[in-house]
Amino acid sequence: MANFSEADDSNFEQEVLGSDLPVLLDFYADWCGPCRALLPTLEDISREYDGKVRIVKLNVDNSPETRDRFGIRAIPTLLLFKDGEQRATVNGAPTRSRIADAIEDMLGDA
Amino acid sequence: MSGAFGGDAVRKSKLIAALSRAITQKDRDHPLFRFGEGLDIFASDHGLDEAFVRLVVAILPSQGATFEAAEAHLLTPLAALAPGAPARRAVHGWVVRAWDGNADPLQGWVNEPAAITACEALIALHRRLAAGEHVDLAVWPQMRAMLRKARPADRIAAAAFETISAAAWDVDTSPGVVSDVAQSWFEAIMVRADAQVGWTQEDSRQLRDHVRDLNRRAEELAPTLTDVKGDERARYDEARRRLFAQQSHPLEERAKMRNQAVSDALPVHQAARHDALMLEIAAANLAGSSAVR
Repeated sequence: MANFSEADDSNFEQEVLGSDLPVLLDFYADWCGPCRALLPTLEDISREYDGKVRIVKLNVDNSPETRDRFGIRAIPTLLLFKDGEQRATVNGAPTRSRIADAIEDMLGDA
Repeated sequence: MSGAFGGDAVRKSKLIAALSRAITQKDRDHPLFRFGEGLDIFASDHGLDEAFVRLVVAILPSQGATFEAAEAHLLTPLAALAPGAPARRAVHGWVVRAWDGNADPLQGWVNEPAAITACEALIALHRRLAAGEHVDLAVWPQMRAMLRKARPADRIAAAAFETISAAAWDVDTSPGVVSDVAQSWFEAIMVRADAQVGWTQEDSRQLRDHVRDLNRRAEELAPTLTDVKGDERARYDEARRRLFAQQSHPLEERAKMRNQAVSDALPVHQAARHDALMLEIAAANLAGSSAVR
């Protein structure tokens, strides 16, 4: 099982915005069933993009500041960051191919 | 590997017949349809994977349910479907029939040659797997790389392409692929319906905000707790009904057209999924539980 990094309000700048690699940020909560169901998908994505993209998880209950900063109203929500900026949101059902497409689009950007 | 069907051939045969009868006759009194009331025992008694039984039962469209509810109803058992023979059967069966084996095949939605070629390659792979052929795991990343290069630009074509692409992962090592295929297929139907009536995400947002606002105002007029029944609830419902009648939104008519477009299209796809699964059940019965791949 992949060991994802965990971000919170205190280390968000460092873990996500300051990351050397692009970041797929997963907003989740412990009580959220769909969030747990997403884990195998994130593990596959992690293997597929090993060394190219970091997957970071952020618990919305423990990090209200970051949750509100990005206007997160539903979970799971997946955002993509590169070079300290939010580049994309994964819209629709977070399927493997949809997440991969969003990552490819981001990696392809100059 | 025991697969979905354990036990002897006679018992399996009887079960297949019972499943087929219950589903095709829509016998709502059948124990299979009493969710949470012994379905697990039913599955155990017949040597079945419980998640697979729930999936089969869920395929039957819920009577009177909205299409969203019907799909949500389906996703729960799908999510519970662990990697293995049942998931494999569902993915192979669904993706092949989604592409070219139903009355509204997705191949008719894709018009770019490169995208069609890429989808055909993946469908061919699934046909080989369904026939019991073994493929090396290395084929999946290659398949995904090829698909990514062929993604079509057109919105409807891209939605159909996404449904097929969702099956470009090894079912045994990637839990949830079956759910990805079902969700993507449903979303493709929504995307096409949206395009048919020019519905946008901004339209959805506006209408959702309108409904929230009216719900809030109804709550102000007749405060209640959401789950309370009786007079308090009746007053809230009446206040809400009047507000919605008085405050119609200009987008409502188009929203109805969009919902109608989805409602018209969905039964074709639900029937395709149902037929695919029943064929897989029949195949399992004929082939025996050890030859499911």
